[in-house]
Amino acid sequence: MTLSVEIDSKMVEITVWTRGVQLAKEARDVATLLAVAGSSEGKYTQSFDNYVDLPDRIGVACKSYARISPEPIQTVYEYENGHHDVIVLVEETMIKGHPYLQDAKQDCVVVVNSARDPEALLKWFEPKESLPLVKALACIDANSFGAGVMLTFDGTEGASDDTKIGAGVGAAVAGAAAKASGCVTLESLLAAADNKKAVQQGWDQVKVLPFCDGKPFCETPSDPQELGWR
Amino acid sequence: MTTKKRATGLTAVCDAWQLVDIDVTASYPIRPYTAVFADLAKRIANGQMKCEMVFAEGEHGQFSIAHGASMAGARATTGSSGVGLTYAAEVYSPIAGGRCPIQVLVGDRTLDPPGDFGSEHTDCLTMRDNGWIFGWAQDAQEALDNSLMCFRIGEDPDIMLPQIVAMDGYFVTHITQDYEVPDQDLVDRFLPPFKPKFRLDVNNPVIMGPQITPEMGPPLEWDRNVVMQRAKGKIVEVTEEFGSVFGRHYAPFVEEYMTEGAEMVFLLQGAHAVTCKSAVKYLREAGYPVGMLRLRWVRPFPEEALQAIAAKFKVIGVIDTGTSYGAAGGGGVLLVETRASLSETPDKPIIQGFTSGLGGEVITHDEFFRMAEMMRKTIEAGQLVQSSTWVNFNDYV
Amino acid sequence: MPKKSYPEVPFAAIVPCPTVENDKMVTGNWRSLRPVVDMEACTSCKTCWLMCPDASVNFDEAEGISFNLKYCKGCGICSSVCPVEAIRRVPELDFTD
Repeated sequence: MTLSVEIDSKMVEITVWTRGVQLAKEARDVATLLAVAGSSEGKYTQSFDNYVDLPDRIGVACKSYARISPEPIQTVYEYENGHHDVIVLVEETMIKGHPYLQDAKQDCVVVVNSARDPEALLKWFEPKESLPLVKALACIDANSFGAGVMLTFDGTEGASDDTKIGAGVGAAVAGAAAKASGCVTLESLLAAADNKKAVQQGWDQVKVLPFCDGKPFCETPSDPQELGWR
Repeated sequence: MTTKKRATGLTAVCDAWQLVDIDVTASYPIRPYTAVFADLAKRIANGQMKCEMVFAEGEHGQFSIAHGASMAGARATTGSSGVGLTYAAEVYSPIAGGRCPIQVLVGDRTLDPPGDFGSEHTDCLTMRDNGWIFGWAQDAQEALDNSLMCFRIGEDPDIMLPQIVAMDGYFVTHITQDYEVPDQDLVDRFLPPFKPKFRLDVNNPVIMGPQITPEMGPPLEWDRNVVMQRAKGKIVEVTEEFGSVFGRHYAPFVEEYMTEGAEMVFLLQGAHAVTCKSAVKYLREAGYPVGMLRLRWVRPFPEEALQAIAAKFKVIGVIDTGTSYGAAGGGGVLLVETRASLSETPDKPIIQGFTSGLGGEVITHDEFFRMAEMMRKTIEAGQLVQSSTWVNFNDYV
Repeated sequence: MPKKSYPEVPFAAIVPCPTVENDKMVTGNWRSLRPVVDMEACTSCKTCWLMCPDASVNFDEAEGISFNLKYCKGCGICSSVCPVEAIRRVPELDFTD
C-alpha cells in the first residue's frame, strides 16, 4: 500500500509464561526486573501483564511481557509482544501443551524454571517445526534456592505494587534469563532486585544448551552475551 | 518538588485524589477501572488518606452515594467502566442538575454485547447530554493533571458541575508509564478546599432536588446551559493557571501536532493519539502533509477552537473509537460533533469519518497509514469519497 | 500490509451449546501434577468422582476409577478427599505422554 517501515525493529521482546494465582507475581517480577534493569542501562522499556488471560484462575496459562529498546518505543500501547526474543517458562510443565514458540523470533532463547536438565526437556519442546528458530534452551532450578514464592494480587489490574520486586523465585529466573540471553547486565539486575542473592544464583547456575539449525548440542558459544542486541 | 513515579493511569488518579484529600468515595468492581479502589483501599488502610470508602451495591448506588455525600458538602468521587456507567444512567442528570461537583473516573470499556474488556469511548459518550464536563487523557500524566483541573473547574462557584476524567481502559489504566506527582503545596495553592454555598446541614436546613412546578423546569435547564457555556472560558482560565503553577502547559481544548503545512489532519482523543503522533512522524517523512488534532474535552465541545483552525486544512479525518448506530454520517459521536461545529464555517475542510480501535483493538501504524492514504484520495477527488469508513470493514483503499 | 480480517460471527453471536464436553475450553494444560490412582488401594467409594469440580473423574463398574486428562486441571481435590489415600499427584513431566 503506502508505507513499509520498520517500527521498533531493535526492540528486544521478553515473554514470560506462568500459571495464574500461585506464580503470577513471580512472572510479573521477572518482567519488571528485566525492564527496570534495562532502564537503568539507559534503554527505553516497558513491562506489563497480558490483559486477556484472566489470571485469577489457579493454574491457567498467563503471560507477562517486558520490552527493552535502545530507541524510544513507538508502539507503546500494545496488548502483547508481537515477536519473542526471550521466552521464559516459570513453571516447567508449561513446556508441553502451550504455544510459547508461536511468533518466536529467529535466534530466540527459551529459559525454563526446572530442576531437570535442558536435555531432559527436549522431548517436550514443541512444535518441532519451530526448533530452527531457537538459539538456546536454558534451565534453572529456581525453586531450590529457598527464595519462596510470593503470593499476592498487589500490582495486578493497574494498581501499584507495594510489595518487594524480585524477592522470590522470580529473582533467580530473571538472573538466568539475563545470563542466557544477554538482554541486560548482571549489575543492573542486581540493583533492581530485592533478593540479590537469588539473582546471582540464577545467573551462575543456569544451564544453557545451545542449538544449531534446530538441533541441540552444537558448540557452546564462549559468551552468551554475544547473543546481544539486534 | 515533584516525585517521579512509574505506575498506571489508575494510580495517577489515585495520587490526584490523595493530593486533593477527597472525603468520600463509593466503590464497586468492574474491569478495567476497578484497581483504583484497590489502591485507594490500601492508602486508606495505611493511613495515607483519610477518606470514607463506601461499598456500593452497584454503579447506580455508587453514583447516588457520591451524590448524597456531595450534597452534604463532601468532596466525593466514584468511577466505573463500560456497562457500569450505563447502569447508573438514571442519576447523571439529577447530579448535574443538582449542581453537585462530584468527580468520576472512567476506565473505558466496550459496552456489551458481548462482554469484551477492550476500550471504546461509547460508554462515557452515551451520557454526554446530561450536563457533565468531561474529556479524555492520553496517558497517566494527563490523567493526573486532568483530575486536578477537573476539581478546580467543577468546584468553582461559577460552575458547580460534575466531571468525568476519562481514560482508555487497559492502555492508560493498565500499562505502567512514567509520570510526576506534584508537590502537595502546589496542589493546595491550585485547588482550594471544597466549600459549597449550599449543603445539607441540620443547622441551616435546605431541600435539595425538591419537586418543582413545571414552569420552574425550563429556567433551571437554561441555567445549566449557561453554566456549561461558561465552562469553556473557565477551562481556558484553569488550564493557563495549571501551567503556571505546575509547569505543564496543555492546549486548553485542542492539541495540535505537526499541523504546520498540513493538508490533512487526524482528529481524535485519548490513548490512540500517542500512536497517531508516532505514525504522523513516519508519514511526514514519507511526504504526506499530515498532522494531528487531539481533543481534550468533549463537553463542552470546543467548536470555537475548531472553527479557529479548521480552514488551514483540506481534510479532517475524525477517528471515532466508539459507535453511535444510526447517527448522521454513519460514524460516531465525534464525527457528528465535528461536522456540526464546522457546518457554517467558511472555507471549511472536507470532514470524513473513520471508525477504528473498536473492541479495544490497537490502532496500528499501518492502519494510520491507510487512513492517511484514504484522506489523500479525498483531497485528490476534491470531495468526500466516503462519509464514514469503518477501518478493516469498508476501507476504500 | 494486508487488511485485518475478522472471523465469521453467527447471528447475535448465538452458538450451539455443548452437550457432553466443552471442546472450546480444553483445560488439561492447566495441570502440573497428574492424579494417579493405586487400583489395589481403591475401594470404589466414588468420593473422588463425586467431588471433582470439573467432572473429570470417570467411574466404570469394570474398569474402576480413571481420569479425564483432557480436562483435569490438577486441582488435587480427588487426592485430598480420598479416604484411603489411593490417589497420588505426580509431576506431569515424569510421564512420557
